[in-house]
Amino acid sequence: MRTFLLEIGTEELPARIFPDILAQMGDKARGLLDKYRVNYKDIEVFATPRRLLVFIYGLDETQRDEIRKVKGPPRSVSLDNNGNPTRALIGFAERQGCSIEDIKFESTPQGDYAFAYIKEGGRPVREILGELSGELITSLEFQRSMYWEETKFLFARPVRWILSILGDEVVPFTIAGIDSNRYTFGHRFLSPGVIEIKDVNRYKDMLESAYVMFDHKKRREYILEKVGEKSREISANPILTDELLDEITFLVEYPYIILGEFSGDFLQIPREILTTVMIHHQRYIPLEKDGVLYPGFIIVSNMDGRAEENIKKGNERVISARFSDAKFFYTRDTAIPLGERVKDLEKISLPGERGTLRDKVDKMRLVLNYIIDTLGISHMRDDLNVALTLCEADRTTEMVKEFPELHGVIGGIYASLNEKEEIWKSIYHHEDENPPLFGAKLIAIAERMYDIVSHFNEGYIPSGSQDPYGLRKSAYSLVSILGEGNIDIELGPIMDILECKNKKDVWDFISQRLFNYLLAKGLKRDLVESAIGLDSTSIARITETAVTLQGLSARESFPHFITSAVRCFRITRDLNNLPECDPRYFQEEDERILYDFVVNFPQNENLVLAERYERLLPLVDILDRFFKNVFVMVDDERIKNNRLSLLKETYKLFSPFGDLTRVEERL
Amino acid sequence: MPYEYKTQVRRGDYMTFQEVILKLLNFWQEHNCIITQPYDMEVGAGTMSPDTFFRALGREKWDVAYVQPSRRPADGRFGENPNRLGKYYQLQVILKPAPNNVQDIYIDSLRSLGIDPMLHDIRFVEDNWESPTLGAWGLGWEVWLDGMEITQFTYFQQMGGLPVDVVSAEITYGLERIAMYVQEKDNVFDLLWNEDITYGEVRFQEEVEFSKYALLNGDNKTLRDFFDAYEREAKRLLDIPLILPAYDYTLKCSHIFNLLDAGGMLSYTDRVSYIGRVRALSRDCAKLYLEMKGVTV
Repeated sequence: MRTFLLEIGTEELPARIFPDILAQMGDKARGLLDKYRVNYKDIEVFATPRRLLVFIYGLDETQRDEIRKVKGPPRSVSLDNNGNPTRALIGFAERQGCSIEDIKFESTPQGDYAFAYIKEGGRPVREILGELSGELITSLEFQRSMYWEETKFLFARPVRWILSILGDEVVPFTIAGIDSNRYTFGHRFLSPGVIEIKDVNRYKDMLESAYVMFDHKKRREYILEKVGEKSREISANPILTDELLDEITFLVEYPYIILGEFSGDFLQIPREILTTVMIHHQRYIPLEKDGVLYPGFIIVSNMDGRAEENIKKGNERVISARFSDAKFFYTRDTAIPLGERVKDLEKISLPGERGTLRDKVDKMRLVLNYIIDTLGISHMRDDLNVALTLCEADRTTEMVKEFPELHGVIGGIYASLNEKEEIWKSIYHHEDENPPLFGAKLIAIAERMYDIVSHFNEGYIPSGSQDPYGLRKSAYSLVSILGEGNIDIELGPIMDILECKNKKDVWDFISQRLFNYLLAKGLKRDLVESAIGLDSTSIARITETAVTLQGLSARESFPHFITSAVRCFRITRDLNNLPECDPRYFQEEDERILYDFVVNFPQNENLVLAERYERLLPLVDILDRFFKNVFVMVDDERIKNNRLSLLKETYKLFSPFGDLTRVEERL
Repeated sequence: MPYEYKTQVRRGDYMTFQEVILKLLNFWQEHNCIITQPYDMEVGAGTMSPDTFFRALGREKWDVAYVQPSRRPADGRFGENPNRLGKYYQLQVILKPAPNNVQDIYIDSLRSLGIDPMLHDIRFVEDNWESPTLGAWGLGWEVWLDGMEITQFTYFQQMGGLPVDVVSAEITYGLERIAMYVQEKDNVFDLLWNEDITYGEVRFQEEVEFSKYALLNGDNKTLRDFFDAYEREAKRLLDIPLILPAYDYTLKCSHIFNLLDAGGMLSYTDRVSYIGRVRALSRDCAKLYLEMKGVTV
């Protein structure tokens, strides 16, 4: 059993294609090995910015045989009276490339037929791996691909070499005008020149000594460890998210950690701006000490110690120039208070017929005040309105023009110079996915709803991978704010306030995010569907319903409860003009019992769901007896309709649980 | 002298700004590029020069290097910002078809500036390029030298709205950035142009006046009228057809659009519409150019 290695050598791949492309490589390689019927023990995939690697361990030398079964002529046509094969059967065997001995007769519903059993395969794996590798490389999907040579092969960046060896043998194939071979390259600078791999088992050592840590998991661990060491040297803590660590991991083949410094004077600039510059623009790791930003940063370079001095000096100059810019913007921006900038919002137009940013704020204000009224929190009205007025004003600042991702945060920071905490924090956090502050949550709800509805009104509706305005993100944020915060507001009336042209499309869009959100919380699909089937557009209410259903679904009585509800629903769902149920037309005792239960049931809509469940439980038996003893579909229209009407009323008692027909059988 | 630029730096023993330019041109001359001169019109980037725009189309081999003064009115900062300019110098190289070892050649060009890759951290970081007005895009990188972006590196995929037949590599050096690096200057105006004269002494007044013009003194109506007139002329010339002259007026339109944009005179819808108008012209220029060469588009 041998090991196969495929290395796709490229020019620098974009860091953000990982880890998706690694997952694709593994999945697709496994799929192809299966398709080609190749036995193997294990697969590993690795990547650096300049290479994608697939190791396949423990390969059989030949592929698995496959027996294919082909239907031939009927028995009557296949054999003559003496039981000898006819020309028809001989012809069939020839066409299938098998001998008469490989043919068996089997009975089918149409009678006995000849079946050929054909053994296929046994091709050497070495031959197959070339084809398989070509297919694997071609099947990788990137968000953006390019061509660069005559065959116009598409890949994320140019492919420059392909190493393809099984044990010590080259597995030859050609792609993008490149013939596979046993040659690879080490680190672009630290290990110039070509490297010959005589045996696949030598690859790992040779690459390590050529300054390439090809195992991205180890590289990531190594960076994390070295960053920790470096930070401890100065008793500081790195500010390092997984996202940044992943990106940095795929920007280097040979990580080398360097500490850079900047002048403490820059610490006057708000921390958020400094960290944004360091992380998003330079991929540095910021540092903090005792919760305060430290005037230094960690560079994960792709060289070794001999370049350290230049790298440190160069990066320090870059960060100093960028911070000087930021300081320049900060000084100029804060010369004009945020309040004075509001009037300039009229000058900033939005795409389509949406008017200006000022129009947006005006619409958001209508929504915000509706929310304030609905929730009965008028004591917050003044502060919230001030925050709302200012929440878009930072769009006119140099800082936000330079760092658009800081919109909101910058507004908050600038507002903090003149406004009280409740106000500036509401501005600061309103662009968070789920703001920590109640005030910011409400502004965020107004903003997300405006965003979604106004774009839908303009026909900017996300489809497939197309979502240029990030509306899915807006909807997801909306769902988390309302769901996590348990803020019970119907979105339908808000859509009306925003003059929504197609409420159903907007609600379908939002409820799809809600569906994913609830599934991600571990709720069962059918219960979520039932909750979304509620006649409600309140995310909080639907969420609570789904959670309650999940709790109730563990109860022994649950399946029966569902069956009862669904029976009432099925028989009455299409009937809309039933007369009101009239006890005078009752003929059976069980009708009256059901009727008494329904009319005496508390009319309180706010009945907690779990409580409602308890109170509805006796209905299960009542309905069982009803369906057993009362025949609904009698000829007498009046009596029939009276019974249907009673069942329809009964079903209404279940309706706060949503669309229970969605709930799967759990008996 | 209201615009006199007072430099605070001592003259030093550095490679001057003009030496950077000459070394790079010399390097590319040795790599069989023809050395042409800047295009004599206002352009936003070296890509807009006909030496790139048209030559990226079609199948002919084309290796060229030239300096292109590039105007970015919206980036003007009245000469107050040490890192921003409303006009700066790009050194543009087109290699068509892109050689397999184009990255290595590029790194050699840095060696010609005395930058030893063994003593620096040179990295190719994803940066995709798109020019809506040229109907052009490509994939590539910004090249980092110890964390500073010094070059834009692009494989063209589309030009004038048409997929390219043969892929060019475009290498665009930011000359001021590179010079600031080698001269260790924190302010672009302190760069030594030659041993006696600074960048500020050569260009400061220009930065101040053009910033004042583009950001504060542009006349909305005049500019819009210019745009309309240039667009009309471009269309008239396309009808004849006189492709290169039509393209000149397309460039004029593009520059006027940049001025309108810098002056904050465009609403979102205006912007989209002006970009569309310039793109339509450049697309027609590209199409006619290929048809003239006998390529069916």
